[in-house]
Amino acid sequence: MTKRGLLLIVALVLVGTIMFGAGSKEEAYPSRSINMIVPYGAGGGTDNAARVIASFLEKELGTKIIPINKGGAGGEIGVIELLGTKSDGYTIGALSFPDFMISDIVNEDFEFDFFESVNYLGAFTSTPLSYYAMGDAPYDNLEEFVAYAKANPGRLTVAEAGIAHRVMAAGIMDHFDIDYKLVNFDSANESLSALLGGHVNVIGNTNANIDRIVNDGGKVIAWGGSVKPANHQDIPLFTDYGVSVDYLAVSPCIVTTKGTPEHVNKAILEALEKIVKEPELREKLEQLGYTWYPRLGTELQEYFYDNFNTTKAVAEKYLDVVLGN
Amino acid sequence: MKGVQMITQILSQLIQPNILILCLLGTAFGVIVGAIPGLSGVIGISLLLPFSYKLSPVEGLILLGGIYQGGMYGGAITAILLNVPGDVVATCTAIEGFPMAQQGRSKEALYYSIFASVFGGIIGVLALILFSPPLATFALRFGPPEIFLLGLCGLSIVGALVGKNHWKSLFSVSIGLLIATIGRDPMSTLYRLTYNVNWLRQGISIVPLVLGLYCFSEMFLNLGQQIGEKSFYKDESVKRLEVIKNILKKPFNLIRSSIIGVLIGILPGIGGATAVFMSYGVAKSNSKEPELYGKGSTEGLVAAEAANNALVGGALIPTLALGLPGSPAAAIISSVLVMHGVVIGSDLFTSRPEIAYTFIYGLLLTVVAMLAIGVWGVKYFSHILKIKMKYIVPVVVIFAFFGAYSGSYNLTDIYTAVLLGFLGVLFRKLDFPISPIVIGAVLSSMIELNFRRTVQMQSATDLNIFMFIIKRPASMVIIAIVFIFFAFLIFRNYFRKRRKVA
Repeated sequence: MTKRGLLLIVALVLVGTIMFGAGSKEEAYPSRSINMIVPYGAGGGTDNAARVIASFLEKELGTKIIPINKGGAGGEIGVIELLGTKSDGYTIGALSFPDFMISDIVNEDFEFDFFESVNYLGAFTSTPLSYYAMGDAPYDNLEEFVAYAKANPGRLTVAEAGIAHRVMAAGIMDHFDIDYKLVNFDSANESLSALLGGHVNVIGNTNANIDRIVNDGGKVIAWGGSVKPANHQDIPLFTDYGVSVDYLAVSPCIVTTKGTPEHVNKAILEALEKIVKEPELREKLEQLGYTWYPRLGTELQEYFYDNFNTTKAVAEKYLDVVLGN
Repeated sequence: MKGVQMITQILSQLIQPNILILCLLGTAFGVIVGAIPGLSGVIGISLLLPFSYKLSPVEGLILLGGIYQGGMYGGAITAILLNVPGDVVATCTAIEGFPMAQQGRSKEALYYSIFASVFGGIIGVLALILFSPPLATFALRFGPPEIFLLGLCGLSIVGALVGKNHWKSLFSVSIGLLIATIGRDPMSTLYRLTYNVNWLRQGISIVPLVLGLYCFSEMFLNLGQQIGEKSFYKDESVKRLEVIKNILKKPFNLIRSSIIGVLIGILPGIGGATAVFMSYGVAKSNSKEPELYGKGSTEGLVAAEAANNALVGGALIPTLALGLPGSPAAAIISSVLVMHGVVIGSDLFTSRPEIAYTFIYGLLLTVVAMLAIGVWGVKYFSHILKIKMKYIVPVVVIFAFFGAYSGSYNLTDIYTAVLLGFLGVLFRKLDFPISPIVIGAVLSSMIELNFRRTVQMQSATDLNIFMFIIKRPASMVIIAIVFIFFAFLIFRNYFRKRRKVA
């Protein structure tokens, strides 16, 4: 074998690889494993939901889905990370609505555009936020809480664990014309510690944690949403008092970055449409405490876009509250 | 008797081949992951988390619990042999263990650290088994003002750590405090010191920081040195019983360090590094031989290693008793329960006793596993020193690159670590201490965020910030303890000086 001959063969192999090795425009998706960026810490609420969804989705798509946690900055870091990946469908995101939407509204440095950056493919749960207090608090429902706040302006402390809670507080303060102080914590667990330890009066927390909180001596002041859990039929609803905070309900959603080929979005959407019918998926998510409320494709997009304006109005009016101190 | 009946039931569940194997494998994996620079127990836990979902709850918990326990010891191995802490919790172990290795006492150092880890681990698990309810309730008393004060106490430990030049230490700790503020501020959602650079927006996390300052700077300093052909290995025979006896000769140090580990563990969200620094600093302040510290003090080594393993049991106390994780690693472990549909909260022990009790007794098994692995391994670990430096450095650097990346799967973390490596070299050449940088970085958010939370809480009252803090009983207790501690130190030093003069 001459040196020239060898070179020729290598050149031919290289050309052949380049010509035929590159994927054709519409090769079957998925042909390898998919990364799922979760912009939150491992073991947290969104992470748990994302992993459950991933376990069903991967069976339907026929390939492994690998969750990758990229927590930090309330999810902003992971979202930016997601936007920087190739839009080939092999990196999807599990974002937690409404946090990233609010970040887009209030944070100028956040290079994410709620309408232009990602395709919203599906969400399965929508868990509203509620207000809880300890059992011995001198108010049993939102009306009494508001009365107490009016009688003692600026004296109540409410723990919050994220930007959505702050928008919620701003909305409530605006609606009832009251004033209370927010104390920020890094996570729902830390704000719960603060409540149990008597360091704050009230906390905002999702509906998922009602059993825990009541077990530890807490009570619901105002429940988000309209469905009371079976074992707590006599709790007050936010809507009982004429205010709704449901536009801030937490929805982990599956997204792809804009620019992802249509056949990929379609494949994922079809898979989501199949798994939404599986009773086990609903069971597992409800076990985690989430409220089942599936929305897929354009239905989800419309839901999100509808909530944008309500949120924007409140957030911009109360920018200082939302941005905290 | 119900007690005996329950214990036999628990034992019968534990002494099963699958549980024992998972315990051993988990602990071994933890030791390995802890030893590799840049990887830590937390990373090891998140790596095997998906696997644990496929196991039964108890199996998953014991596997991850083993990783947590083993990881706290593993970092000591590379810390002692190479002056590269495998994990930030082994920083103080490096400070004492590496000089010992340089004196040819590497095996001795390894034995001290494994036995101290075992003692600490046992005390931590015993606290979990016997004192969970009162300790968990006690932990709730610590709100933001108290944790802020505790953070300040932690900073004061820096003074105890570095004897000579106070100003240089102050500078180092300030750099550490500052570095940790780079990135997004969680409370205001604004970016600080990031200059619109995305790499800085992520913040400087502790893994690249420790890797850079210790591992890379150490390896950079070794470049160009003639020690490429050198190796530190010395064949010494060490009597294990002797080491155990020596540790037990200073019972106060051992018990105090373990208690500090447990107490820091029960505080929500605060992890092992804080416990180690506190324990080490307190040990040095109370030591009768403070001049040995930094040159191979077994007392300091024991203080550090006992604290970090005691923290494992401590961090699981609020996790299991209240459903509130005592440390980031404990948070991930608790998600195993959540994913299996187990409601975590204060009724875990009554609603799912078969899981809760089996797990906490199973943790004792992880300590045993760690003992077996550690003691068996010492023979072989110290042989690493037989390898010439010119082979060790590249291998360690490659592992460190992987470690830096594995923290958050960011390539930029590697660049950060390398840059900080250069900073570390600069500091070392100028004789500035490096440990205070790490202490500052670890304590920075604890101090800053909790102070700001205190201000938020205080804004709902009429009091000014000082009165607000002082009026809280828990804060008063902390301040009182600190006063007593300092008074004790001052008196003791005064009397020591008088004795010297006389």
